[in-house]
Amino acid sequence: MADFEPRIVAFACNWCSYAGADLAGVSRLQYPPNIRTIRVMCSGRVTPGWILRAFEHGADGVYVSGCHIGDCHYAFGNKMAEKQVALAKKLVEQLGLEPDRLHLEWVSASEGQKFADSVTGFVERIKSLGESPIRRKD
Amino acid sequence: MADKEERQDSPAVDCPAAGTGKGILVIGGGVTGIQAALDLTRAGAQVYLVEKTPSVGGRMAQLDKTLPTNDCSICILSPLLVEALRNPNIRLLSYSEVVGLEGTPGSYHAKVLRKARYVSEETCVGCGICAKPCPVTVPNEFEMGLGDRKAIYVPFQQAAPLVYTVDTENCLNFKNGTFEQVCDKCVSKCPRGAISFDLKEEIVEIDVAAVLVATGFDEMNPRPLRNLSYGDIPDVLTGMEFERMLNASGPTTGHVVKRSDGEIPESIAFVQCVGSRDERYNSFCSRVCCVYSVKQCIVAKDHEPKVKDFHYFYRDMRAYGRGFEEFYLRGKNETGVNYIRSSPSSIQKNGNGRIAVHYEDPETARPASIDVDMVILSCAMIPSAGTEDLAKALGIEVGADGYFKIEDPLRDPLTSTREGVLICGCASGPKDIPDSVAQASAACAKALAYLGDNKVIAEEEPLPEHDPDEEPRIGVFICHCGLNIAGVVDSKGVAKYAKTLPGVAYATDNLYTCSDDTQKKIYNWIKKHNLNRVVVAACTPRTHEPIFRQTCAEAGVNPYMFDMANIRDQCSWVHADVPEDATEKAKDLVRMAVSRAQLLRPLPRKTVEVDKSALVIGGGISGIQCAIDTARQGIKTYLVEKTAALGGQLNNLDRLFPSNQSASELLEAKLEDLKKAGVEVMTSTEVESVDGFVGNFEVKVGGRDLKIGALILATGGQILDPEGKVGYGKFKNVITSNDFEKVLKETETFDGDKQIVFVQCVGSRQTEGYTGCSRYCCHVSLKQAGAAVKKGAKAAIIHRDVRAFTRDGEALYRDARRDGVHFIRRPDDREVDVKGNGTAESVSVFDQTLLSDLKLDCDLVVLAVPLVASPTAAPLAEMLRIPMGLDGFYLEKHVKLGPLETNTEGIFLCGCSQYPKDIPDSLAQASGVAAKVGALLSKGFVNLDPTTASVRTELCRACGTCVEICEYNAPNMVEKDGKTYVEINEALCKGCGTCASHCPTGAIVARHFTDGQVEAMIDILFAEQT
Repeated sequence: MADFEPRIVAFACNWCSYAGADLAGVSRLQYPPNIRTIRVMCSGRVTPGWILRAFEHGADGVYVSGCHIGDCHYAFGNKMAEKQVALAKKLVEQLGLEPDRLHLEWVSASEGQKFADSVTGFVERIKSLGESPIRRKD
Repeated sequence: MADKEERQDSPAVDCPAAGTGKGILVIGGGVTGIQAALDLTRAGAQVYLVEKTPSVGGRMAQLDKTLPTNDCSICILSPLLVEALRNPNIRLLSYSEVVGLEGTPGSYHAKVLRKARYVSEETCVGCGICAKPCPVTVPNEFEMGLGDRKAIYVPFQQAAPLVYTVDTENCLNFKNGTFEQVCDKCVSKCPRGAISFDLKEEIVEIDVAAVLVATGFDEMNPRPLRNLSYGDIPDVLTGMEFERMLNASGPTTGHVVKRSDGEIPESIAFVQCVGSRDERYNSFCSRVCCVYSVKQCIVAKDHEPKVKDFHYFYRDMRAYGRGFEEFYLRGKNETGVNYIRSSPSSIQKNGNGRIAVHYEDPETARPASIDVDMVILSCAMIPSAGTEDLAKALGIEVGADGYFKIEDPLRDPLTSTREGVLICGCASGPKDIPDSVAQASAACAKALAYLGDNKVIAEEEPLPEHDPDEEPRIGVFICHCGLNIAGVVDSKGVAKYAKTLPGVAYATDNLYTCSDDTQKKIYNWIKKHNLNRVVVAACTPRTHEPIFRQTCAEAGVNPYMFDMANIRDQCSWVHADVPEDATEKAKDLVRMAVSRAQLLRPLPRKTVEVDKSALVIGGGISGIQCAIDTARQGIKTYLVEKTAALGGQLNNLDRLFPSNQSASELLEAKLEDLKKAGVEVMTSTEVESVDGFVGNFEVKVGGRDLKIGALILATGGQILDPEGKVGYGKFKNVITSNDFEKVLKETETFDGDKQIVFVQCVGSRQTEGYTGCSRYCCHVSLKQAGAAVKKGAKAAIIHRDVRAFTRDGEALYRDARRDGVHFIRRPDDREVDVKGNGTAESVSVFDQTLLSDLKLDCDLVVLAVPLVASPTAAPLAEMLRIPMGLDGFYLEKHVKLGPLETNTEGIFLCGCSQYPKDIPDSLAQASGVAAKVGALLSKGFVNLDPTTASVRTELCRACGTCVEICEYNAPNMVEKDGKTYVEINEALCKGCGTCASHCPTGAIVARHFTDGQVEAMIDILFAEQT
């Protein structure tokens, strides 16, 4: 298990988190290369269906990120995302996976450091949880 | 008032009569000139853009990062350069100079000298084959001499136009400017026959209505300051030289190294005010150096963590802009910059091969020295070479500081000494980027007024259509971004991999995918390979999607059939230590983008009509100016003021800096202009509600319902109540600077013994709460202390730094010292103590210069308190859903390039509603907003983003979930033919897609982010690889 490299799907909203991830780049902050980010306009666009689909395909973790509460480019899209992710967590559990494999993080456009730190932390967490049982089955 | 009728019958009143000029001449192709050119064309003007050097881009193209966000400078500039270059209404005359201007405002006749490049602009493709055999190597000016170029050259890779130029100073075929052929290496190698020494310079004559001068600045050569050893010690560099060194595309590919031995320096000294604030050279302040040096420390530490020490020598820390004070502290707290308030007396080689910086230690007031390995000099920003010649050619004057003179900086901060010739950006003195681009827009508003109706409104072509079912033919373009990507990711390998992906018809890699020449190549590849979808793997879509989309549209691919993979900001830059993993990630990201691209669908251009009217909220000087300039463009303009009188803070002021004009006279003149321009004023009125969207706002104000095309927030600010601070409220003779304006107004002469003590930063630059600088207070106290002394009083100013950063600010500071104002510097952490009995009698403070406590007798204490956001700002922000900063002021769209706009289209900012500003800056911003409003409303319609939600009616069960969720009231329940379902008002829809993710039946489709597209990305990521 020593060389286990998690495969993680990330969803990031265009206005805050994707911009924060860009800022991490501009600031040359280094984090593990395990995430593959899908840009959406708002974290509220992310559906539990997408999250489950990623897990069903063998993703070891899913990372959803949006603007801070009160700071959403679309007023309350992130509030909706919070509910959707909470719902998805229950469904992930029913799939037989640890709900900790799904993570929601608020990252603003100025928080490059936070983005890098939270991705680093999430990759560590997934490493400690081990490979997804679904992926192992494959 | 029967405003409806009036609106149709009497448009603008006070426009200068249009003349014979059919366009506007913009001189200078830096960020200021480019911004002006783009704004002018958006408002329908034909633009002639004259640039002296072979390429546009100016100083900003040379910078590595822009502060305080540390964004890559060329990355945010390059899209503007490309846009300007391909704009059909901008005629770029590069490598050209204006040599004459005749005529009158509205009808100017300009002569432009097109210098001979000896390379045909039409034929050259910028391949660079000619430069390789050229036997002459000279220092490259763009690299500030740190890198080399040949005698036939382009200044930098993203040059626009990408056309080579023969440098006749150095080419062997020219001796003292006379041609005599001795070498034909470049001519014989050019595969296109583009080089010819028979080409001649020519004069182009153009008729224009107005002239914008944006010729920028040069960095002073610090060689005359022999004590600093520039030129003697190779590791003493200027700020611009160091900027190039920090740049990943620069001569050291971003590595901080000593030029003497190629080693990484352990310790770097930064020295401010080299040749500026210095009567021997330039008495003015260069305004941007204090913070750009902080940026250079932060960036240098990022690039080379081995650099241990940053010793930063300065006189006054002029961190005056929004976020600057915090940035300066970040330098100390995060990067460990050692700020030393002292000017080095000399910089010399010392015995051990290092560099000794000698200075007076401010802690002990004794001589000291530090050994460092490198020194960076922040040299004065001086008028660009040729300013005097240009002044003669244009028939305008330069000021004592060498920059173009502004006739009346308070009435009109942009007009030179000749009407219709406007000065913007650093051509009228050092400025940072946001102030420069705000001025650029402002100059446009003035220029457009002379142009009248001589406009070229181009018809918008419909976007290319496709048969959505035709087989995908995807083109994939992988960027090297110089070494930014290719230094980590195997860009060639990724391109090779992309060729194997399903649906990909063509894939290749490019050095700079965003450069103008690559746009032309992509255009050709799209045509040649009959591509119907495009994927670019490069930097971030947040900055570069628009230019690639435009290239797609021009080549016949619908711009929504385009996707980007971010393999730089979110790959090569963040996985620099693991190149193989980064390359794998880049491949995954490209595979995902290609998979999504297969499912992209063409979207049509959507437009909405706009109402040619504007509402300015706030009747201070900014609102008044904005209303005047907006109305002058023929736009029906309303000005709403909540109090009974217009003028805002101006009503409280006596005389104004820098021209010593009386505030009431200025206000009177502006109110006269306002009247003439036909602005409809509503005082004692507040906006009750705002609905609608760009071009179509529905505003309830003063009991009326108005339809408004654009909204301008000019709500200003209010003076912080200093209750409890520095004896305010306790002693009646402790007053604010605003109160003191009244005293000045009413006092003919002060009693000679009257001792007035001014205290700066009362409530600003705090460790918590108001952390920023209020920007204008230093100037106010300098002006007031100077005036008080002239009226017979004695004055002292207790400050932390004197931030007299404006063009005339340093002279004001100097005059105050000359006139006997006593300046006392206190350390940041030592408070001012006022003592007395009923009235304040003495002020005690620690004097940082004398290093001792000081007690001053006082008759009057004047507190410089900061400006805070207006109490109306927050409720308006909520009503309009626009963001505010932590400081309570409105947030601009982009900290560098979008200082006038908010995030919501059709809503603009000016004056102190954004952050505290002085009057000239507020006026410039107000005029700039007027130009933006003019551009927005000039065509009668605006384009809407078509990436909205739509409803598949047959699946809709009318549950109402979306109606409940949507913050913008875009979904509406409708009943037609006995069926109830939801329709989306696309003008209201912002495209967030939240409704689509909540629709239980899947009836709602988020057009550009469909379930299918996102699922395809997830699926392909985990698909078995062969």
